[in-house]
Amino acid sequence: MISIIFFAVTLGVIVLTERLEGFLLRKLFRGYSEEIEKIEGEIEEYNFYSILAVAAGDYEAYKGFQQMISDIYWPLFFRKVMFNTSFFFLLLTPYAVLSHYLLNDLIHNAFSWVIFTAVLYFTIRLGYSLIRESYNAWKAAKLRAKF
Amino acid sequence: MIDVTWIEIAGHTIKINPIIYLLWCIWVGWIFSTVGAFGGIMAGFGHITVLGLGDWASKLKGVKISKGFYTDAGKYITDNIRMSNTAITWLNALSSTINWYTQKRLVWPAAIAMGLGMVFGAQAAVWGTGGKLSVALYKGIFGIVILVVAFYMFYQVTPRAKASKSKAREAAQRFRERVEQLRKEGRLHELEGITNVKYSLSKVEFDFFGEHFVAKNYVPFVYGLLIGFVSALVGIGGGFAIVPFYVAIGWPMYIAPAVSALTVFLNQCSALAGWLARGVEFAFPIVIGWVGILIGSYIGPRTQKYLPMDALFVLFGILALYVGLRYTLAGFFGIHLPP
Repeated sequence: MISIIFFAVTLGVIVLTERLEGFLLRKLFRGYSEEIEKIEGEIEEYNFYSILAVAAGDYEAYKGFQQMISDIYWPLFFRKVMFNTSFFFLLLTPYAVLSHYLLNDLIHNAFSWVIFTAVLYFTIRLGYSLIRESYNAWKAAKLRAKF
Repeated sequence: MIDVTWIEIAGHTIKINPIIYLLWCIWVGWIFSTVGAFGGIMAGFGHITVLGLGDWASKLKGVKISKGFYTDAGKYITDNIRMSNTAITWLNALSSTINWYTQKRLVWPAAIAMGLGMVFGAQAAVWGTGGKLSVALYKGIFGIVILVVAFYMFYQVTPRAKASKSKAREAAQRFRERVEQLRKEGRLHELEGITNVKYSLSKVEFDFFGEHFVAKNYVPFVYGLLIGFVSALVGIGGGFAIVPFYVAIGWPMYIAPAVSALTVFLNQCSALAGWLARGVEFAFPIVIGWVGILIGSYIGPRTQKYLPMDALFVLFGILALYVGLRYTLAGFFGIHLPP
């Protein structure tokens, strides 16, 4: 019973921390957020051009746009993962440390379980969106095949 | 003394210097946000050599403990290093990574296949090698992976790699100018890219502007299996492997956000569950590492403009070559290069 309550509360704290992170990113790191948005806009633009290039049968241009996306995307990906992740886990740390010491007799290794629950939460959310999108895509394909 | 306790094991207290750890992690965060995947390797180097956890694993080799599935303190520390590398560099709290793509209908089957492969691969590494790797063997394997990364770094500055990039880029630039012209003339109509999508377990078929394409789902599955295994084995994430993969097989980049997010999420979730189930615990000073990573990844892009990319590739290539050789020789042959 204690474990169930612990994981339920932890989940709630994780959701709140995520919201807090979004708020603080906007308030404290506005320049960072704007820069990321700008780079993502650039990627969108190259992606659009790459599709047009295929449509026009210009594969050399398509390859060029793909490379340009690749050159921009991977540094952005690493940067976002490293910055946002460490920021999120730092915000979660007080709860993880407190629960580790306060619940020492009831939950073994609570710090690790809090961290793991956070990763699990984000994974499940991503997994859910994957399944939902796959189903929608499959349904749309079926519908299109009918007509 | 300002040392803090990393872990307590077999009657020993392993302490680290928090300032050195913080500075090292700033460096790791900086590398990650400038040259990418090499940061994971530097995190591993920090835990093994800079903090000296590798020496502790050697020193306590064969010392009996009873901690989860572990009976050998040295092997426990080895797996603690693997898990700490993961915690510093690859814990992902970022499902918004996939917030741009246009052809998502095709993304999911490939992404799911790759993700499943990674889960199986990570579990195979955790349960197949957890508690079995001595620190020497771990160092040797780590060294080989670093040598592969060194090769990748050097390849980026070769005339061959540069020539193929610049030719395509020039074509892209010309095409862009043409599109801008058509747009001004109002001759650019809305285009529907992908049509006639057909799904099955083994493949996805679709027409892309009149051409028929078949994407086989087992290719990303097999690659996911491989990345999942190697990254959980070494504990340095899958980033070093996914970037060359895209270049090598020519996958369209719109798949990248979904697959790269999955690479991190599923692999780490799966590996972490495995480590926790085996009884490995997080060391609290990991928090110091997160502070360092945050600082490093914030200042990285701001300082990068002063350093040409080619110079960074050469610099880190040389570093990777030396570190890789150092670990490979030490791990497999007992030859110790300085420092």
